[in-house]
Amino acid sequence: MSELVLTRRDLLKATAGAAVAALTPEVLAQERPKRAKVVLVRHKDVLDTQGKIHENVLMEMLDAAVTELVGVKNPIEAWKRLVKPSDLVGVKSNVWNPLPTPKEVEQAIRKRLMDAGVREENIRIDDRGARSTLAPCTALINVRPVRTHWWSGIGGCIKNYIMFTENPASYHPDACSSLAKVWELPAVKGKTRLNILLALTPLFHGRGPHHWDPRYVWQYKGLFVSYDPVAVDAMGLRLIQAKRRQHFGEDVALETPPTHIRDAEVKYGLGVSDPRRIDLVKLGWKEDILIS
Amino acid sequence: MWLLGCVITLMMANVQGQPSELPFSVPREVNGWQWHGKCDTYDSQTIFDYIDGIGEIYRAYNMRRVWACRYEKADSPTLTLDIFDMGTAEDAFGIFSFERDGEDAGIGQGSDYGGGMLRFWKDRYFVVITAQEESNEARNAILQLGRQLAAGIPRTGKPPELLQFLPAEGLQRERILFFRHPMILNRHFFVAEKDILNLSPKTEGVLATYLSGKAKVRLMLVRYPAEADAVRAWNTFSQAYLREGRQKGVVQTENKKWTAARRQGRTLAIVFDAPSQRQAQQMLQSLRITQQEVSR
Repeated sequence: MSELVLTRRDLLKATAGAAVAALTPEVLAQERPKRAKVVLVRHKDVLDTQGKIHENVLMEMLDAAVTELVGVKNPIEAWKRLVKPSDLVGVKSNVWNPLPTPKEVEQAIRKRLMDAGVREENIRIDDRGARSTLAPCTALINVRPVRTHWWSGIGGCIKNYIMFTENPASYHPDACSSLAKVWELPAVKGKTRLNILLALTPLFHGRGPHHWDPRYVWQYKGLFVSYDPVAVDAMGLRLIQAKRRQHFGEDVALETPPTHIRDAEVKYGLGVSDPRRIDLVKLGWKEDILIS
Repeated sequence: MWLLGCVITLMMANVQGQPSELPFSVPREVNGWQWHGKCDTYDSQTIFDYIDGIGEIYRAYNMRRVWACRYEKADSPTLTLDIFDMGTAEDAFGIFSFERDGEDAGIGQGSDYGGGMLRFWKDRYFVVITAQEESNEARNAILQLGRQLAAGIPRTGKPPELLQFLPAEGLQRERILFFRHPMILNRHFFVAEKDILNLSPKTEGVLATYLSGKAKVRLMLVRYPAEADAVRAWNTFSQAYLREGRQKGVVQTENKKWTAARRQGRTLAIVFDAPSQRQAQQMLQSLRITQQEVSR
């Protein structure tokens, strides 16, 4: 066993903040000056008191976010910039039982894809079967809810593509740090047109074998969109961390450090992880927004 | 003979209609929630199909199988029952000790309830009952189901023997962690990025927390299959962690607290974060390790 093993003593020597700083912002800012844009839209009426989605409000939110991201006023025009009528479009959803991608969201995306000229039979929506059903697609829309995840810190858009792999468990080592590698698979690479990270009812702390506890879910009533899966996850992470601070009254570290987000930039060049290089555009309802 | 054959066939049919694969009896109904007689089952290879990456935790405790069953009632949240066969009572206790949160529910050999989730262990089984949404009605049903399940497990299991070695004074009993895998240990108390304790599925480890005034002192015991394994662990731990204190078995660490370690036979004991050198060494002396254990 080498004497160079990193131990608790080494961490005691250097404060955690210093260690993290050594690994990320300034260095990255110099080496990768790339920036990313993320749009956050919220609406206080998107959910009723029972948590049911108001579909019209949801569509308004999606339209507002996508038009802002693409930079055109008309939502259908915006979707036409994302996909071509000739595309075979895969919507990578998420079926995790306690907090799935809602059907209403899938339907809103389907509608806008069809409005943009994609034929219904050329739209595929799947999660667990993505490796076979979505692999032939020429364009992908990546959509899922943000939540804490026991193994990777948070579950977001980067992680959502793990179902394109033959053996998801092989990505578990080191807090799933290599998740971004999935995005280099031929079934995925270069195909993603939009990342939608849902924050309608995020989970900010989990327990038990299903990592679920309804006490730690709240109605944030928002969604993030971006071309950049790393940037959108970085914003999702900030939201989760802010909620944990608010709820627990202090910084309670995630069960697993979400290093896969930083590694997605540093090791794989997938996108921007440093919040200082992410332009967050906030639309709609501002109450308890938690992030600036 | 024919009649006997029919009786046997009927008995078999009945068993198959019942939870034939389940390790013990599961109620069909509790407070109006119905179980429809089928459970999904997963082993240590297929566990990820059911609970994603968290499956790694169960594998780190040598999980054999899980049965996932659902109880449903109109206009009420579904209850999910997960029965984990951990192979041994030590590992059932271990997975229970990994994540304690909630109030003691007095079920099985150890339990807690909070947020619509009951967790308990008994014998080699770890059982979790979860409601998608919590309500008083769901809570009552969960606790009732838990009590019935615990009663249906015929035997009790022996908790990890290492627990007996822990000194009682100042021990936070509800915070004891049993572990075998460095990943589990590091989740609770980061020791090193690599396994410097020579852990394996056959080692048994206990991490206990003691309060000494305001100070929080950790005592770790690891018992190895053979003394040679413990010697190897001592060598790697003392080299990587004790460093300048290796010869004496005690060192003041960078937080101005003290770490001391000692090997006795196939058991390695380590005290972390004691306020003084004397306290660290006293804690090692107070371990209730028998001579029989040392020479075993």
